[in-house]
Amino acid sequence: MKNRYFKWIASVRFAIPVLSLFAIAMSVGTVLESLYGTEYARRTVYQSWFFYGIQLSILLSVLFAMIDRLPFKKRLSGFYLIHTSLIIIMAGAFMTRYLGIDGTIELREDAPTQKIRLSEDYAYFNGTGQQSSFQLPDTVSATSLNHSFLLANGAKLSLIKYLPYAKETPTWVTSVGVWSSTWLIKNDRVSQETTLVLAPGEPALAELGPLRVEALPPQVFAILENGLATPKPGTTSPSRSVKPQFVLFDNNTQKSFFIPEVTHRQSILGSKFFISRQIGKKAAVEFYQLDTPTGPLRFFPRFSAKPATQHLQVDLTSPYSLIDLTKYSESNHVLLSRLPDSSVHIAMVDKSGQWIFSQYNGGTLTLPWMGFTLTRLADHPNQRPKSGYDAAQPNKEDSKNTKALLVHIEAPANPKDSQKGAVRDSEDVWLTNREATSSRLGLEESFISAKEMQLPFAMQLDHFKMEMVPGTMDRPASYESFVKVGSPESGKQTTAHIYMNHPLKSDGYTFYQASYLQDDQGKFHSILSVNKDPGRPVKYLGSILLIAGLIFHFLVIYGYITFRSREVT
Amino acid sequence: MNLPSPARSALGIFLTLTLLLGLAPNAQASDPCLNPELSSQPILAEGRAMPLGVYAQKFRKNVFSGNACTEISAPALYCYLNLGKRAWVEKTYSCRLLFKADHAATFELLGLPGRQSEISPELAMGQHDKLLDTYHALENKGAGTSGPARDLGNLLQRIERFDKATRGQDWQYLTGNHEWRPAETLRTLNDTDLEKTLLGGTALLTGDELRGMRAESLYESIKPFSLAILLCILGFLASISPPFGRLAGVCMVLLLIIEAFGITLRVMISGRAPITNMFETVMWVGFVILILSSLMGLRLKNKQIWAAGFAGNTITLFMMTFATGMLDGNIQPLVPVLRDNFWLSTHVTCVTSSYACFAFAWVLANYVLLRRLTGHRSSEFLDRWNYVIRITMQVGSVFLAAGVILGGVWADYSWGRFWGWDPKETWSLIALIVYLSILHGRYVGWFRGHLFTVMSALAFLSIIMAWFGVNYILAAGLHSYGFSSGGAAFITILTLTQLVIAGVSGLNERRQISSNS
Repeated sequence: MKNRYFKWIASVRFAIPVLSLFAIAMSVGTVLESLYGTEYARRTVYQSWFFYGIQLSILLSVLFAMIDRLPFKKRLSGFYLIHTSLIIIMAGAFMTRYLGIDGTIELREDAPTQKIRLSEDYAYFNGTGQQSSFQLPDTVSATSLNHSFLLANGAKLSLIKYLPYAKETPTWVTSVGVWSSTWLIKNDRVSQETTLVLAPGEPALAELGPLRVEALPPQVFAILENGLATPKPGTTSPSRSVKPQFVLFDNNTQKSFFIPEVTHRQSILGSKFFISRQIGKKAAVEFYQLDTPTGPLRFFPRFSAKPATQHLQVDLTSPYSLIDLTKYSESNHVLLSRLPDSSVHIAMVDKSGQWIFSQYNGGTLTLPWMGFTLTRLADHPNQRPKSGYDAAQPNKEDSKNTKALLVHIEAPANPKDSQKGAVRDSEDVWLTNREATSSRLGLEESFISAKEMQLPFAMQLDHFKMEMVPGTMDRPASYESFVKVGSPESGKQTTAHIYMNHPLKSDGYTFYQASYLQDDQGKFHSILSVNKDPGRPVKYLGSILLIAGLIFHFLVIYGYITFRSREVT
Repeated sequence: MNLPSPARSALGIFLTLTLLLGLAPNAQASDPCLNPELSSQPILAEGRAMPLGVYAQKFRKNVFSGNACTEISAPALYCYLNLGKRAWVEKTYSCRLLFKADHAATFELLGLPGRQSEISPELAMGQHDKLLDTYHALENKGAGTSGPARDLGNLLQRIERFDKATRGQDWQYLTGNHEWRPAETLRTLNDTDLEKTLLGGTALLTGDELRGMRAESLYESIKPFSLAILLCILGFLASISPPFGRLAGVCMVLLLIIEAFGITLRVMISGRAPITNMFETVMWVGFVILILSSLMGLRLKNKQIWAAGFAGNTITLFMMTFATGMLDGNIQPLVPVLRDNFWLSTHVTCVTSSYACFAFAWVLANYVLLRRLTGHRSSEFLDRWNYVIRITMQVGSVFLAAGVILGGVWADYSWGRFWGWDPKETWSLIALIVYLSILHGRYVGWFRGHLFTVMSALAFLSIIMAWFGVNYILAAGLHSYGFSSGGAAFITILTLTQLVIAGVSGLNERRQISSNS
């Protein structure tokens, strides 16, 4: 059996190049990790076939080197021990990798959970009461997929491509009557890019601290310009203290009306409409009532330009908007509009309360507040953005990376138009790990997430404790979770205290304090890492043998241990 | 006036004395700020208890320029500042408390032209927003670590510390029921209570706390590691000059005592193993190099091994004393994951001791390479030293293998996994494999003689990467308690120097061989 190849693998001539390759691959891995994050390094190096191949070669080298030096010689006991222990450690690592469980569990105070998250990424599809999932490829580059299946409602889902590192890049789709424009708002301290999408009758607002930039429909803007820019002789410009002034916009007729002051019931539009200022009967809330031929509408213009329904919900479908002009002079407000002649007009109220109107001809506009400037980066008349994703550079912090999956949905086949050539309704949607996606064709709340697994018992957070280093506010000294394990129904519920260097062992699983997060209500959730590792005792045994072997080996070499045998050295 | 002359001079002396006593601030004997007991009082600052005197020294050194009210001791100055008596101090001692700053750009920003090194607190605090804006602007431009930005950042920190100190919010004092209370509450006390409270802290301490407090005062006043530098250089010189062999031995013993004493003091101060940050690992490595070289020198009866030990120890002491931007000598509270004395003292000790072995082998290897370059070419010389290098590397490998495995066990115990390809773990494994490859290669005759020496010198670069590079260059991963900036230059220079030495030595070897044949 000991042929030429066996001798070669058993020799140092094989071992050293393999070990060098191993060291080089690992150093590349650490550099990639520092540039692109842990997950990137794991996928490209540590869990690549190449890397497993190197480890297998090391295993063979160690094993063959030992077999080559059989039969047993006392002088080489240390050598056998070292090489055996290396094989044992590798076997333990193999067991951990393929038989073990390594995940995280998020515990809350209000509800028990059994759900563990593992590391593999899955796409979860929900639709008409049924969930299906698909394991995403363990890759770092954009990958085309060829997988399709039917939803319960008969819609056909085709997975097109998967981007493990994606950034949102809107694509522009034609939408007549919509004006989209991208602006850069900045001063020395902050800068923000924002895209305003102005659909008819819906003002688009962007806020940056106390600064607001708002796109208005051209009809509303024209009214403003006519009503405010050139004060009629004898009247003064409106100032901060004026009574509410409004513009009423009717989306059906695309007309708008300037209402200088609402004091009592007054008619507009040739007595077809009446507007009045009223106070709510039960609660003394001010609102404005518009009497239309189809019935009265109630507006709370401080809250929304659209009228409220009977249940006090904003009615976005209503064609009427009542826009309160007073708010424009109260905060630092810039109004933009694209008039029918394609010119962009700007209006704002300066510090003295004067309305200023100007035309924007490109370039950088300096605003009168806090050194802010406004620059148009792109103009998309008659277009609206549709969310889309492009491959992106991986971010070093894994949690900041977006994963995106492109899914093509075809509506269920309609038996009525089964003849050839009938076009089925279809849509392209992106699933991400950021937020759930839905489609009008039957897909509901679908997303990308780590694989889930159920624990055999439930756990719940009793309370979470974080202690700071004495005398400081922001340097944690310890994180501690007090948890309840099991459920009262099963009759077995115990409590446990988990903190750094003090894990909980239960049912073969071990729970370690890993992290925490604070939700919107300020409540702490504790994040534990969960681990089941059948390779653990094997690795420990190997480790002890390795150290013992190393020490023994060197003691023999330097003559601290001698054998009374006549073996040749 | 016709007074007899002795009476006249007596009156003169009396008047002068009255005048002096009246003017001299020391005359107020009951002022607690001037009480010598003050500097040993316990305070809570930077997250742990320490003597007021130690903190006050650091405060003065970090915040003020070199000649700010040097007439008054640091604890007294700090005490007055906290009691809101800054103006009084400046007036009484006719001196000014000025912030230090280094970069010309900082002065330009504040409208101070020309070369200066001081800024008045009023000016700096008045322009705080402007300074902060400029700092953020530099940060946004990606120039957050440039000279001007760092200097600005330091100045901003000085402003904050000074502001907190003058408002009495920088530290806390100990009260009767063993509670810490903010220093600002001292201002509401009357003079008698103030003195009692300020000077009564020491009496409230229990055994261990008191010992730690005394240890820290002692450590700061004798500064054992600064003391060790001179002794170490002396020992090095003595060990390379045969007539002074005995002196080298004396230096070795004294150094071992001083460093062991310094390390013990740090253990008493912090109450944990003395290897929790970069500074302490360098300190520990230097100490182990010394132990290793003294033992090997004795066993192999070779004083030159001592010389290498002194050299290695000098390098570590220089780093600790002068590379303060890279190595922070302050004792800091530990991050949660390190709060386990057992693992800290086994895993970290094993790993740093292995670094010490490899560092010692590296010093020896470079010594051999340089001697061969300067014409010391006997093969007996090479073999003798390569034997020492090999033993050191073998001991280092055992330590490193044990350290890596103990690290795995600790990681399993506190993070739930034995091995996770964390950069620090991975680089220590890389270093282990590098050394094991060299030792195996030597065994089969690949790396012998000069090549073995070159390899052992170069192999230390993998330790440098595992020790410093992961923190200063890669700066990622779970071992996030050692990260700081400023070490990248050190690593680059060391690596380049080592490559040049190896390259020149290799070329020289080739020339020698071709000229011989």
